[in-house]
Amino acid sequence: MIRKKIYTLILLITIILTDVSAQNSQVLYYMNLPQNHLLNPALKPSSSLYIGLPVISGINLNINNNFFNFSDVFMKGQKGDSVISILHPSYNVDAFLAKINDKNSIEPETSVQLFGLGFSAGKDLYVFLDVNERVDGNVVLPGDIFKLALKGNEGFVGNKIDLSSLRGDLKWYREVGFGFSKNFSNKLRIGVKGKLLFGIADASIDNRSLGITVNSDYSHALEADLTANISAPVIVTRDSKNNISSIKFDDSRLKSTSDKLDFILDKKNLGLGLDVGATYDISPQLVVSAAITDLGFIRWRNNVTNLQSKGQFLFSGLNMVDVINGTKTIDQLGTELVDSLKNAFKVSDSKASFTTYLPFGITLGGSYNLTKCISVGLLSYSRVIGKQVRESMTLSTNLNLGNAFSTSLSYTAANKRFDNFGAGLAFRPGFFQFYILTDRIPVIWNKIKTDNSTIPLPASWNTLNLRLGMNLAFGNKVKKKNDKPMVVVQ
Amino acid sequence: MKRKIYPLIFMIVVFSTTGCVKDTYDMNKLSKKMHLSPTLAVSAIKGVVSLSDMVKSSDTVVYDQNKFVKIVFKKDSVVNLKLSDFYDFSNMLAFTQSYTLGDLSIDPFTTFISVTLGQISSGFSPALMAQFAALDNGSTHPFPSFPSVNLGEKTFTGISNFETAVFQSGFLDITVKNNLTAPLSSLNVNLFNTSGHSAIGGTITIPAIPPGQTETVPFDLSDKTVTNSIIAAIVLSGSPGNGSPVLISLNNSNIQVTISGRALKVKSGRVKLPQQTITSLDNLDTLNFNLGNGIELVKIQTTTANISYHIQSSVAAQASITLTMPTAKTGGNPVTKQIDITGGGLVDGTIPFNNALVDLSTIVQQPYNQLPVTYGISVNSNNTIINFNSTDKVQIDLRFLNPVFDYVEGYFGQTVETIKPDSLDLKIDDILNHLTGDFLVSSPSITVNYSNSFAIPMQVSLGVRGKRNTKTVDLSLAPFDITPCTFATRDVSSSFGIDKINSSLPALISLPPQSIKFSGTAKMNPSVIPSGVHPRNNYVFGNSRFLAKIEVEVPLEFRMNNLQFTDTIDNFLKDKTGSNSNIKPEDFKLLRIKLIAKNGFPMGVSVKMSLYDTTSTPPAIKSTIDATGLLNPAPVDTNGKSNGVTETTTNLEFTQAFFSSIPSANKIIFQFTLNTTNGSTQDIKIYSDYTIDYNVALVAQPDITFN
Repeated sequence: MIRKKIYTLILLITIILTDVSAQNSQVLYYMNLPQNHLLNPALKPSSSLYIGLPVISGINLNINNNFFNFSDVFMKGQKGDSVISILHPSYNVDAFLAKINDKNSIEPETSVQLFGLGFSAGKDLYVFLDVNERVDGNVVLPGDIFKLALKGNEGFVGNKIDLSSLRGDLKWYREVGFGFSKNFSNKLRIGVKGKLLFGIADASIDNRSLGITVNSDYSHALEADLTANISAPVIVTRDSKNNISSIKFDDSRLKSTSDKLDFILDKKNLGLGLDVGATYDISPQLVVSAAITDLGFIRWRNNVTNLQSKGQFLFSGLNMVDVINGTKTIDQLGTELVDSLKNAFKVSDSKASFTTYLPFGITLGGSYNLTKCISVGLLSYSRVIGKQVRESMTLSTNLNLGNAFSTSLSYTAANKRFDNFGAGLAFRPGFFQFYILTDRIPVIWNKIKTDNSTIPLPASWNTLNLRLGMNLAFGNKVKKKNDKPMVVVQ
Repeated sequence: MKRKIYPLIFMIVVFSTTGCVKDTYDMNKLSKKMHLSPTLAVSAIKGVVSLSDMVKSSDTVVYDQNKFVKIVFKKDSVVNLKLSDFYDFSNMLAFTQSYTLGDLSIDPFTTFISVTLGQISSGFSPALMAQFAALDNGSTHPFPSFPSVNLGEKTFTGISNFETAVFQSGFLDITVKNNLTAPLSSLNVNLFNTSGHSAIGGTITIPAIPPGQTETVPFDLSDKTVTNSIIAAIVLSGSPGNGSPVLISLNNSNIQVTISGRALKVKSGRVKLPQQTITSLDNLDTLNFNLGNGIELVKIQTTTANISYHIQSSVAAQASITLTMPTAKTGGNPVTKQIDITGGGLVDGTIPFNNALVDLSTIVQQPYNQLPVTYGISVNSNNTIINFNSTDKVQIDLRFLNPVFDYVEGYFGQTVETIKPDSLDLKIDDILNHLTGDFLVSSPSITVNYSNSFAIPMQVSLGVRGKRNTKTVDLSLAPFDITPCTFATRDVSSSFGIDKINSSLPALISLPPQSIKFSGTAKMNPSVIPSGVHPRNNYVFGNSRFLAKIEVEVPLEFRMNNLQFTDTIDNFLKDKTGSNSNIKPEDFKLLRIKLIAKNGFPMGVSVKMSLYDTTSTPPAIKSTIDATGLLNPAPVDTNGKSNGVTETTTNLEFTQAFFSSIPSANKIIFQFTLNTTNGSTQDIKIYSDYTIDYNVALVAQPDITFN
């Protein structure tokens, strides 16, 4: 009865937490794979040694968005199998806008493991070293942008078009992590990983303030205080009025192989990172865990360009007095208006170093071993991006048959979607351990017919996640029953 | 086992919360219909504009020191009347006079004939003739008596100072000298003109004449025609003889008959006219100046002037005419002129009148307009026989042409000049036909500023009537005087005004008239009683003129009560030409203009725009945009000055229904309604610092189509 209530409670929580998001490999967490220490450094695989080879040992791809899918942009028309776009007169724009959040994010992320090493040392110490090439991006589009584009600004009269949540950050960096985990009691295991971060390129927007207030007399008060920071070989050009006219990538600085290597292996943009995690065995069946990962920053010092704009501008209409006076023409007023606008938001550039912080994750998990091989898990993952927090909740059923085979089926509520069924599969024939997993198996597909072909596309794009690779795994400590976190083999 | 069912149920429930929907999107059938229809609102224009911003002060729009606004229209030289426009001084003298010469004198003449005793004796009997022949021997003898004897006709030698003459008066003295040595008894003489042998009078009897004596008998030539060849028929009564011995000589003894003309005045003929002045004339005449009816001139001071003359003479003799104008003086001396004219000829010339003071008032009977002139005419045929008739004339024509004068003094009459009736069509019928309601401009005025250099009192009566359809308004302006200048102050500047006090100008202007009819009179010397005595103290000067400039001043103080202007124009919104304009009305689902105005003008505006179809039966209004109360008038104080603002918010909504009606309407009716604050009861005033604080926002919902 108690279990029944627990399941019901979990179900309700899952449904309530609709506006959650994922940015991780939730399925990985409860699988017996060396890579799960990336999610919680306290997690320890059953193999006593693993080696991750460059590229092939781990490729991770995540794309998350929380506001649109293919079906939100195109829909079936009323006539047969015709298709209409979002701009079609029959399209219900209001329904589309109803799905739009205040903050709409698109977060692509990819990482390639360049090197991995993990081994058991002593009774319960596990040491690991990772080198990963990572490209993280996150873009947040304020919901008001969509309302403004599709419905105009009249709906904002008396209010503010709040664009302060507009954000963008795209960074390319390399992380070198070294850590260990160790039992500190029979029930508690703690893992720590320190990371040295080498920034390669970055483009980010520091949006301190951005918005347009539409007053009741239809005057518009514009305010902006933002900085675009770039760490990349770019050229800023100016026009005759010393205004920035364009920003171009400087190809000339990457002509030779040496130049390219210097760029890729640049060590001037240094940063530090930290992963901390712990597991606690409440009972032989029930284990809880927690972790904070990717806590860190990068200080960008090389190839820095800062574009800053700060100002306020009130447009309350062209003042026609001068035109009536005959001292100015309407064209002159228009030119002056544009000039005033440019001056109010004059973009200045500088070369000051800047710091970007990594989105960090907070993981809380619990697993219950139903049998020796089967367990169920509940995992909460919170990703903190600046001032935004994204939540995801995953239920999983895990089957771990020694080192030979491990699989997990998961259900994740994330990104406003409840149909995120994930699965992971790993098997180990000999020293080679292959794995592939995804947090969302696209069970609903759309077919996109074009002139010559039919392209299947997942119906939902909210979460696209794929992690795959091959490890060299040696040894097996399962029999020692020291696999505290998740795997219990009797 | 039962416990293991729960996870399974849980997963089934979770899976069932999401359905599996599979769609096929055939992008080949993607509708190309795409549009975007955001509702955009923007404050388009704004500002605080004052009247002085909209209309700069100028000569026409004047802001006084209190910023009160007046419309001023000025036009110089509205009237520019020169002296010649009033009076024609170019020909105020037309003097033509013919002078008949009358009977003229000719010089006396004398001629004679001699008859010897031998010629006399030839009429005797032969015996007696022989006796006398015998006695002619150089010795003295008693002179025998002889009887009457007819000597026959004897011709006098020719007379040189005429060929023929009809005498008006004069005498022909017939003198007979007895050069015989014996007395002669009486003798009879008859005179005949050789030509035609016409008798000159009757028989003239000469009494007896002692020897060596002369006897004269005068003969009156009045009305006698005499030629220069005269025959005398002489009959001697005889002689008693001389008893004393005397020398008898047939050849040396004779009688001499002499005829002498004296005191001769001829009526006609071919004569020699000696130098003589015509005395039959009174030598006094009058030049009458006539500048116009009732005009009495007394003095003219010329600057440069001439009296031109044209003299024609029918007299064959040379004539000399002397004209003297004793009351026209130059340098204190009377103007005089001698003019010579050849016989039968004509002569033109001028008599200088430069800087002449001409007094036309010296003749007591008519002390104006008259200039006395004395004249003298003399003739002389210069010892040449000419045809003459006492009716021969000398005609004198005098003109006072184009004088330039300093001034003219006199009485210029109580003439009434009529201002030619005229009508000014303001050509605003089309506007007025669309105008209804009440409109009153309270204090317009017209000021005529003039400069007058006529020293003549003048009164002007001006009739102005404005007409709009059947309604008329008279200006009702009382006659007004034009201030004259004086002799001492030859130019005076003054003005007269027409305003609401002395006329109905406000009502006339506020009509407003389609046409204005002008008429009137200008009366000179208005205070003079025509039948009474009037002074002749008007002056005009050589440069006299009347210059007037007009200044129409309309202070913007008025009232309007539902003054409506309605006009129907072609539907310009309708795309007749199929132009390729990127922006078309139908591209908008909604177009709304929101006007927020704080109106400081005491004048409100309402606007209506209606799409109108005249081709339907009956014609129908398809759609209307109603902007009643677009601007509401500001409050005013008791003086009509705005003392606050009135805020209005107006939404002009051009809906899709309106746009869809555009193609079916061929006309657009615009209706503007103007009201002033308390429009029917109070005048309002317009000041230059009135302002409108306006904010015009535009709300547009374009239907942007992408194809």
